[in-house]
Amino acid sequence: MQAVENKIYQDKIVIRLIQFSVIWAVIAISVGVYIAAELVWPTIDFGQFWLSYGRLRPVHTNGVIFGFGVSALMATGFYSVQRTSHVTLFAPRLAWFVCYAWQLIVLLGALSLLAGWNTTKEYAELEWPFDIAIAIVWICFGVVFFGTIAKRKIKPIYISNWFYGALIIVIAMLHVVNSLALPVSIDKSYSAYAGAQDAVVQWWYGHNAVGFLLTGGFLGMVYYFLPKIAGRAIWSYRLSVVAFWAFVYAYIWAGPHHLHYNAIPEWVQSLGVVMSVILLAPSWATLVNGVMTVSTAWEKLRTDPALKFIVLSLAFYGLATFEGPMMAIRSVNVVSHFTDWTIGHVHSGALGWNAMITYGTFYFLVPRLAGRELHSTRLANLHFWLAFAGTMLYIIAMWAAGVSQGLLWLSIDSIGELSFDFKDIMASMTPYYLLRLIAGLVFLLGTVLMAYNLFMTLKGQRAVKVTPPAVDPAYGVNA
Amino acid sequence: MAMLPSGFWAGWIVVVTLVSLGAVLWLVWSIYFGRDQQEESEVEPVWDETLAEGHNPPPLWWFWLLFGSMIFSLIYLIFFPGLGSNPGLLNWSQGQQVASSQENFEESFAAARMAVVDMDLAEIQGDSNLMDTAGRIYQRECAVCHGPEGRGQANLFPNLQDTVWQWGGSPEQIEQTLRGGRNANMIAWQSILSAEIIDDVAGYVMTLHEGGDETHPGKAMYEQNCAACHGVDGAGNPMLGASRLSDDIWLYGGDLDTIRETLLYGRTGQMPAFGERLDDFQIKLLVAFLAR
Amino acid sequence: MNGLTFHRKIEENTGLLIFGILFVSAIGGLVQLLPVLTQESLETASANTRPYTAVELTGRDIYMRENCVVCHSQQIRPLIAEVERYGPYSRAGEFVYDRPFMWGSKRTGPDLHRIGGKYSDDWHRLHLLDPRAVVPNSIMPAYPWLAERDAIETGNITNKLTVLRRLGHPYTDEQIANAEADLEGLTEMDALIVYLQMLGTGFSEEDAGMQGGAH
Repeated sequence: MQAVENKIYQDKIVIRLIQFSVIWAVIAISVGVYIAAELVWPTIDFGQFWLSYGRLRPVHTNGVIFGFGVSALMATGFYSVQRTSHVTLFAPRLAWFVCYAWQLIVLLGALSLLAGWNTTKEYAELEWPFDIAIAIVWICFGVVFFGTIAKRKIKPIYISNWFYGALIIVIAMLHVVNSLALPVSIDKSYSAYAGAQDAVVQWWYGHNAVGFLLTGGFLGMVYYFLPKIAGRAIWSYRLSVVAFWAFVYAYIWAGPHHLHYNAIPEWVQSLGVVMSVILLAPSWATLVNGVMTVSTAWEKLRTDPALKFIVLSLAFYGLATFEGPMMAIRSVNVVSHFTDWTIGHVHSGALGWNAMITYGTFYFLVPRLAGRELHSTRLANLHFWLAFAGTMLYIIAMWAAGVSQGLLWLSIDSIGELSFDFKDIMASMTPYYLLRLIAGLVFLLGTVLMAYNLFMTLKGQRAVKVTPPAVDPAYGVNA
Repeated sequence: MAMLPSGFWAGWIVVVTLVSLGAVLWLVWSIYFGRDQQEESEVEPVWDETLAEGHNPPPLWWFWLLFGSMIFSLIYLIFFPGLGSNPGLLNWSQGQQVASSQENFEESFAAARMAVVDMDLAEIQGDSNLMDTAGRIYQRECAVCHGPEGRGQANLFPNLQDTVWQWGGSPEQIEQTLRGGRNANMIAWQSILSAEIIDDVAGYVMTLHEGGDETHPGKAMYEQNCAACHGVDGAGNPMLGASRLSDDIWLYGGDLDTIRETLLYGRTGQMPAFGERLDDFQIKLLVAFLAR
Repeated sequence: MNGLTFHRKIEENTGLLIFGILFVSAIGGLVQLLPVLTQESLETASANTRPYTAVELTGRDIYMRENCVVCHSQQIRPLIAEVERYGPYSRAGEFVYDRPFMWGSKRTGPDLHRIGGKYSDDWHRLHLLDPRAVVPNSIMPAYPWLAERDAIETGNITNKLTVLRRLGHPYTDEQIANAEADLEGLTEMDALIVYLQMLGTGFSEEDAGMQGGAH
């Protein structure tokens, strides 16, 4: 027993995953900026198929979600599950396999998208060989994670692990069901579902990939890192419990709000509406819990860039999770559907919430892992303002664009004719698209500064050796 | 009627939805207001040195937010289809909604639109509001081929602003073109005539706008093969969509190479039919707009 | 039982936690997906809807490869303005041979569900080669490479039809046998245009009332 307890936490893999995550952030956001520019200057693909908007766009989304997002979730998940279980990782070699195999999937997946292998199912564009590989690696991820929890030294499983656990389990379920297809060749398959049925399955997946990966997974980050950085207990345990279960229950029903007024049965749409509205409560429960947790540690906000990022991310989280249920209501959705409003909504989540909380967590984690101060707090503060400005500008541009698209498309004049031609509405988007491009550039600049800052912090350092602290015997596993 | 499930699945939807919602409510209620033995014990778990479970009672307003949204949901599901085979009190469906907006549309606009259909073209053309609407319909439906100003595009789509009409420029002919579409069919001559003859004919065609060069070697072959459609003098025939060759207006291009290409490979200019896409009002306005 | 006592049991047991998450997260899918996947009216083709021909299917696969769906929806909502702009609203029965569905989530460009027959082939060709040649303000990418590639090399069309037949699309042996010959001599652009020209033609007034339409 003594020997096991003296083991040191597996933190090298955390550092490696953070490095991958930051690299993916820079690459995938750059691709995003490039395709944003293509919407302003459509000829900058130079007639090259691999620079074409349609092929680059899924590289952007997959790179951000599965490269940047999942690597960050694996890094923070491995870090926090060890510390909240007071043991080192289960099957560390398998963990390293997960780390590298995942990067290989995202990299080759991106190349395959450029080559035109594409199922066209949003956020599930990768073809069947990748789907199989993803399923295998994901299950290994689950084995490492739950294996670590299973050998924990402290009896209760900490809250953040519930959320990381839900991420792993639900994404596995969604991925397997939605990806069912019959292969034709290595690069091509046909979906097991057709038409309206395929649509319902796809948005059950698509919405909950957002739900359990971009929301649930990152909520795990909140529940570990926020109280950790603030040095406080999580404000209300009871609120965490209801937040978790109501979240897991309600989110999964909300998918059909992506198909309002589409050719699917009305009853499914209605269930999508009501569960989206109910979802506001569990979403905001964590917001309240998070804000109240830091509310006695506001003074830290002045000095700690990590905490600044995380608190701001909670604000955007609150905004996006309010906006989402609104957009799920039929009469709002009539205007927002198919417009840039949706893009704005996604980015208030992806930039304001996912990226910011990850950046904050990295600013906290990397100096700890490296055992030295952050290379430059001033740069980190500058990054904070760039990220904030970029996100705000992005959201405002897309709101304006989306709302005007939605209203102008539906506008009918005094004799029953459409008031505006599609081409003219599209052409009037140029200023917004230009603004969005600038917003993206500002956000990218901040991300590059962070990459430099973290690189300098890590340079020449090795992972600090940390051993699991003792557990009060009252709550020890054998107590 | 909405697309509603029936039989077993209808019951399944109702039962699982309501039971699970009730279970969530019970869980929340019980956790909000239940007793926690652990809170009362002296030692509590601490993870990773500082992480612990706070004992603040969760805010009541949050409970009411959740409870309220559930009440909203139930009311919503009473009025709208959602719970199995129940169509909802409002009997709402997408099809019914679009049908009733169609009725509203008719009610608001049908009379005014019918009045326009019965108007004289000149009267429409004198009404700047209607012509403005007509211009918008043109921009929406026609401009991507015939150009934003109607001057034709890409040496494929005819100029609608000049005086030459391949299929006839009378209002009736224009309407016919709009409703039924047109399929021009200039055959490819490469397998019928030799390259030399085609060169000759092309050369001769280029002289038609000056009345035709009587001595041109291509004249005889032109009259033998082309005159049936395009006329001996090249005046064209709007009934067949055969272009006039005796003016200096060319759709595909009037230089020797292009004319030779037209002869060799033929031309199949196609105007799609808009009779199904546009209603009488829209067609009338377009005719007025184009027949100026 | 008290919910908190119950929860203390779950959070102290890895297996229970895994099972609990799986169970609770599955409920929504079981309610929404199972009835939809067994609803026959969603699998019944509209009167004029038929499986894609070899050429159309190849065109559709090119449409997928170039990811046209990220900017163009194929779903006309039952709203008066959409019906006026694009044509009769989309019915579920028109999509039964769509694997996967191609409804899209964003209209950077216009909806394409009823684009079939609206423009001439020549127009599509020009537009795909250089969108700005016919729509001056267009922000659509150009697709010059489509004109240079043979449709026969897009993918193994015989395999594709065989796989789709296995998934229930009623292809005859003859159609499968002739598939390669059908693609002979066509460029990818030709195939794509054939696909675009058949889009939305599966609609029939006859079953307009059947799928959620009241008129």
